Amino acid sequence: MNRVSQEKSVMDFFLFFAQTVSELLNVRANRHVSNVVVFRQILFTGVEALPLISFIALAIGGLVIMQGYELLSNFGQGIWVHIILVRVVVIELSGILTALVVIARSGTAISTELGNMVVSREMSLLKSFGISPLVYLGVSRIIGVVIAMVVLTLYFNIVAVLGGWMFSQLFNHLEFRAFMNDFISVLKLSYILMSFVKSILFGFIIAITASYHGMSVQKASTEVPQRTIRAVVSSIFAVIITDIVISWLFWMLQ
Amino acid sequence: MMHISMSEVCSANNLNCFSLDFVVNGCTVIYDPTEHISTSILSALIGLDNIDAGIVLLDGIPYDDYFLKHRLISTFALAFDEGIMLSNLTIRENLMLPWKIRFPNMDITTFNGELHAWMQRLELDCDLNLRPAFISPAHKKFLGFIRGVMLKPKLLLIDDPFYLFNKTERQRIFSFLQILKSEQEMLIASADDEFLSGFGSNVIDLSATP
Repeated sequence: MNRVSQEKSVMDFFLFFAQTVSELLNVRANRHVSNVVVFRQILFTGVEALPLISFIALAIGGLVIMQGYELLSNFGQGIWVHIILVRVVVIELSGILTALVVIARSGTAISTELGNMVVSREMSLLKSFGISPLVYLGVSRIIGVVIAMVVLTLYFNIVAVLGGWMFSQLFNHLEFRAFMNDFISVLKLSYILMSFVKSILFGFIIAITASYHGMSVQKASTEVPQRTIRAVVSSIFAVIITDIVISWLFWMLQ
Repeated sequence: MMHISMSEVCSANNLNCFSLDFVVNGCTVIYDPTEHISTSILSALIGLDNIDAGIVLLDGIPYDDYFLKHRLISTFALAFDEGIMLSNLTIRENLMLPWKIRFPNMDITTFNGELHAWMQRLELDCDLNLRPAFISPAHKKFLGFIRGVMLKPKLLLIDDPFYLFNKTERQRIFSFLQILKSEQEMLIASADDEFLSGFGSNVIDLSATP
């Protein structure tokens, strides 16, 4: 019989991490990954977050153009404002802001839901069927969040660029085609790749952290909000550190 | 028939430790007024984490080795003391989830037919498309019995069959189990004298255990 751990620790997290990665690598053969859970997670994390992401992306795209235009026009270089849009929004802000929205909505929801499932013995029920809760609930949610995160980040970029164009109209009546031509001319494939890699890693970090904290609840319902707070704080730290590391690696490789 | 041997099995942070050796033939009731040991026995059999230490042998084979050759879901099904269901699935999905794992090649019409028959036997009537939160705890518990029985396990484990039920419901489940014991091998854990006195099966009395 397994020894029940009294206090979850860093070692527990790495054990959870290793088990999850092992199950993810074996995902095709794993019959306990639930398509229903994956689709519902994509719906909640991705589709239902679209209005909020649209609002933030539109506002951020517009504000970056507004501030950038004001700054660059002092040097007579106002037409190069879309470079700032690419560098600031596509490379950095789209990933981070989408991750923060996903942490606020889905990270908290996953942690709370899994914690409540432990308290109401639903995890024990799954185990009694021979189903691994880690795979059925954790891995399925991780897949759903990663897919949703990638799509949301791409969507954020598109809406932010549109927002940028709309605001740039206010300053120098730039045609959409001309704006897009300038934008695409400074957009490199490596920038898109970096945004894509970040979104995958952020989605994975958010989902695994929330799943770990949710499943770490022992018995009492009072543990659920405590674990959710820890999930949010840990996710924010992990996402920002990962962002710094990836950006640093990217600039080193350049 | 299954020979179950438990040696120095401990739960609740090693507070409850016990050794037990018994054979389940037909229907066996574990009478445990404190419920500590009987719950630990069922947890140990189903492989839940709240067992801290000990050795469990099934038909003389160590627990882990036994399940290298057999599937857990076809060996044991547990009807929990509370009618536990997954809150994010409908009642139908809850009943279908383990059934599809147990019988992956069977048709859904078979599932529907069997479910209907068992619901009639238990005189149950409820909308299966509802989430579990919308039905009473007693209804959930009845459906938990049906879920277990439909899996046709080698041994059906039942934890405290009278818990959560009123007098009428107790009579209904009692009659149901009386009939079922001729069709299905069962290991029932109960803390209830009333259940024990009328059920008339092999009894493992743990009331004298310190």
